[in-house]
Amino acid sequence: MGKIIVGRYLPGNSLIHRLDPRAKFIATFIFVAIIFLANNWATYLALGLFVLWAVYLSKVSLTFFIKGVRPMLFLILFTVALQIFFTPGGNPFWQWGILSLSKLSIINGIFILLRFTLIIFISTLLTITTTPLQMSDAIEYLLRPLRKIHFPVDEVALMLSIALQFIPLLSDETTKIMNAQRARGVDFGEGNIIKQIKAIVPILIPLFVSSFNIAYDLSIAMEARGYNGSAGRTKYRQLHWQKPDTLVLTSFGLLTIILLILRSY
Amino acid sequence: MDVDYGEIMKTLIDLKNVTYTYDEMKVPALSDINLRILAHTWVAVVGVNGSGKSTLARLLNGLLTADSGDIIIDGMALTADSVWDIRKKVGIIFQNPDHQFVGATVEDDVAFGLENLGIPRDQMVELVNWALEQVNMLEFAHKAPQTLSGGQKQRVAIAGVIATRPQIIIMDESTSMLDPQGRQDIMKIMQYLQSELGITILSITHDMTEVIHADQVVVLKEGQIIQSGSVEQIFANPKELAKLGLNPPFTQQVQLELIKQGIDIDSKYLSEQEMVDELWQLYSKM
Repeated sequence: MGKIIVGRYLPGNSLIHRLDPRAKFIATFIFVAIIFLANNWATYLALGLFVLWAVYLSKVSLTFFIKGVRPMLFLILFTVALQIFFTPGGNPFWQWGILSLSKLSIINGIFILLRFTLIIFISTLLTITTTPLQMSDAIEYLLRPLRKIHFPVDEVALMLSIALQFIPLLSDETTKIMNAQRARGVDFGEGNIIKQIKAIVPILIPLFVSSFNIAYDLSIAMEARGYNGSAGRTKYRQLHWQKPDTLVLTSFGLLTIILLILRSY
Repeated sequence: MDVDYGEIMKTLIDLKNVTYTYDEMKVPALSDINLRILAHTWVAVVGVNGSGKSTLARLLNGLLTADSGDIIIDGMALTADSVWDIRKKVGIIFQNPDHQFVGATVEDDVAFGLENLGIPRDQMVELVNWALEQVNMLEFAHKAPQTLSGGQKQRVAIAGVIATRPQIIIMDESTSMLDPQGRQDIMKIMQYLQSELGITILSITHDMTEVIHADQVVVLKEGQIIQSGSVEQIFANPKELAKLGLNPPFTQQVQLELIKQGIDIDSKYLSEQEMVDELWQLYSKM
């Protein structure tokens, strides 16, 4: 029986964990937008302190956040390098063709680095403190306005939550198929890259077949239980917007104001 | 049953000349089925694979539409217009516990049928708790399905069905993928639902030990009802059953062997306890 956790959710009961997922979602978006207001050391310091404070409130160890940066490291370093070598202007103390190094370009590079790290920290904070199910609830709620243009919000939300729920089952299924193929002499994780890719095919085909079977069975079960589209359905799971949620959004408003003041220095 | 329903002999399910053929098949899966099921009874439908058992289950709540014949549930004919009302009356528990879990948690899954009916939320909360209590799963309300055993998942499926208060529950080989303990739990719960809530149970199975709970047994072969009667009547002719690939329960097999050996033992169907008593008496007679 698979005990895998979808996403990177870490169970906990901190203030951040208990927030309404909609508040966390909106706050993350606001953060990604206002980070572009930052243009000097003071603004980055303010943003950095704010993020560290949020991390502290989540009671999640900082190492999880640093781990979150690791897979993006190459992309970050590449972008930073571009920024450093291709920023024109300043007083370049080194130049070779179009490549140049100046105090200004190095500072810009550091800013880019900070910007990436902060965005990764804040989105890791969202995924670490919110269950996938809460996320799908929040997405459903935030997409509601799209109903007006006949976008099937409820259907998409149901699909999302069923898909999330069947990941552990499908991962069990994958293990079973891999074992069955191993018993028939397939080697996984050996040979060159082409061989390894070829070894995946005998996993994928049975997995497709079995997911279609599951989908068929599930659709019959849903129909038997009276599922007839989203019209006229009521909702059992509900989100509760509470005072701390309003406070969180207010604090982001304050942060925006602080950034606007600091940026003109 | 110790409950007096007043209308105890009411016909709840009435099939008249029902025939169904799957697409691209020459032989009908069910042909000319006539079957009457009384309210509050337990009916077992037995037969080997391909005898049409599951087709029967799917016809009864409109998942399949009969080619000809009438299906009348609680006085209401099953048509394209009435199918959603019929589904309120007929719940199905399917075979694979993993393939019928719609909700992300136990309580969400139980609520799924209620959400479909558009029940207001405060009422839903009550019904979900009530249904989970009936199957002893209330303490698991917030658990995710992958943390449950197969038997527990089937109990959740039962809760999901009874939450909408149907009159009939069809068990489409619901225990065939469970361990013995899980099977026993499910059987106990179904007996409780029959006696306490007066739910009519149609149990489709090829496990003959499950058949002994039935008030009526229907034997299907190649899409036709070849026998219908009480458990005693059906087990009275074990050779016929064996020909169909259906083996009587262990106690029944012991009984048959004893008769074959010329030992004087009652030839009517005996439960395990009755069998043990009979053997004790036999022993004391010797």
